[in-house]
Amino acid sequence: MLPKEVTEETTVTTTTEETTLASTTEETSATAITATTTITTTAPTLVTPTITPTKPIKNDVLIEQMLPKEVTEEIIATAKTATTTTITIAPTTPTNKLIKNYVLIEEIPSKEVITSQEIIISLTSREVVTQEIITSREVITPQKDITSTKSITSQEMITSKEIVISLKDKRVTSQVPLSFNANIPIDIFIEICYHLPPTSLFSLMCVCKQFRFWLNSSVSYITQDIWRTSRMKYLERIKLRPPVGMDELSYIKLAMLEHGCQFCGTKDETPKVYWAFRVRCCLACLKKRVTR
Amino acid sequence: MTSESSEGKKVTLKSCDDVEFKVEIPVASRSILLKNMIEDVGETDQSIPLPNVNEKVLKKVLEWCQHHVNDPQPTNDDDDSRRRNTEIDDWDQRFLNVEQDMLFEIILAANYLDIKPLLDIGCKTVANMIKGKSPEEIRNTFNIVNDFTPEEEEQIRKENEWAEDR
Repeated sequence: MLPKEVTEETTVTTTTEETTLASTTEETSATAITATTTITTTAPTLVTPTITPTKPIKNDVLIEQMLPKEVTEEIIATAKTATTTTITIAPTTPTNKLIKNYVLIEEIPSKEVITSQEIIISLTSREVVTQEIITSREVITPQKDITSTKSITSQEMITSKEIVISLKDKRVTSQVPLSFNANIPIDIFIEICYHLPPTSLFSLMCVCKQFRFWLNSSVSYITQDIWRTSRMKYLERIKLRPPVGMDELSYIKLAMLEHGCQFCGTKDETPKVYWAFRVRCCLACLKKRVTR
Repeated sequence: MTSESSEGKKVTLKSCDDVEFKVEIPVASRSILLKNMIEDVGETDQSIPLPNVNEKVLKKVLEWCQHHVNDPQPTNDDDDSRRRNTEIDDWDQRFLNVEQDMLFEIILAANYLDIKPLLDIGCKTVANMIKGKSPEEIRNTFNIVNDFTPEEEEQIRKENEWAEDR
């Protein structure tokens, strides 16, 4: 009795797939051939989008710059025809990131380096793969067009770019070394941080801009949660919540990480923390600054 | 699907580089993504493509799933307890004693396939590589470029003055 039900189910899913496919192919007729070939191979994944657990990333505040929602969706819509492979991927893939980079080049100058690197990689890999999948070679935009992302407006160009991206995804992923700061999505970074003591988080904060941005926000819930988890796990002496109006980082720094006087820097005596003033200072400096 | 019918049943997974793996359902079900998919779709002869995972990584991940096939499934509400636990058992330590690229690929795959315990030990391993290191040492370990401007660098140095010789 089981198999019958099952086959029914699968056919239903495939048909819905085909309809979505058909509607999207109209737009990009140039890549229609590629689309059909890729899709037949990946057809069963159609289930993936519905099931893929959309990870609850609560860090909207933290990563405004990583949320090009409108733009990405738009692009993904076109990409659907070109490669299903690229789209079914969960939010953590380098490819997704790559697409974002393409769109965001103007907005995030710091990523420019990475992007151009990846473009070169995808271009070199193209040579190898094109014959296999792409039938009409003219569609592929020459290197000049791809590098000048600003000027890309026409659908045709975008689609061919997408192809290059997808090829890169298929062939090169294993060769491109993953790097901690460029390829690791924030939710994994957060997971790693949950296992670190405050001193390590503090070091991490001084490593590069990206980490500093993620760990130095006094308003982001996630940032606060990282520091709080770390404090509760590693700092036996301060289990109390930070004083009202003080963020976790300032609290931890004041209570645990900093040693000298905040004014004269002396370490001769162990300066006391005056919580009412939220400073750590030596007796001399305190007397100088306090009026009775 | 009754429990006895799932005994010995296999499902075919296909890596992004088109290599197929026949895997017993309980092993594949270590991945919550695959577990839900198998439950929803039921038995199927079609392979399940994993466009995010290549052969090398999938093989490695399945090796972990096979070894941990009888572990209790993690529940949703023990986030705190697993974070508190810093231990990585010997087998897992040996399992993750791989090149850095591979380690990150395993983490990404575990995240994508939703294998929490594997994601967890992966992240712990990375955390252990960070612990006790200075910013410069962290940069060297992970090949991270120092992208601070001299002004920012100076600012950071000032901020950290009080925290020196920790």
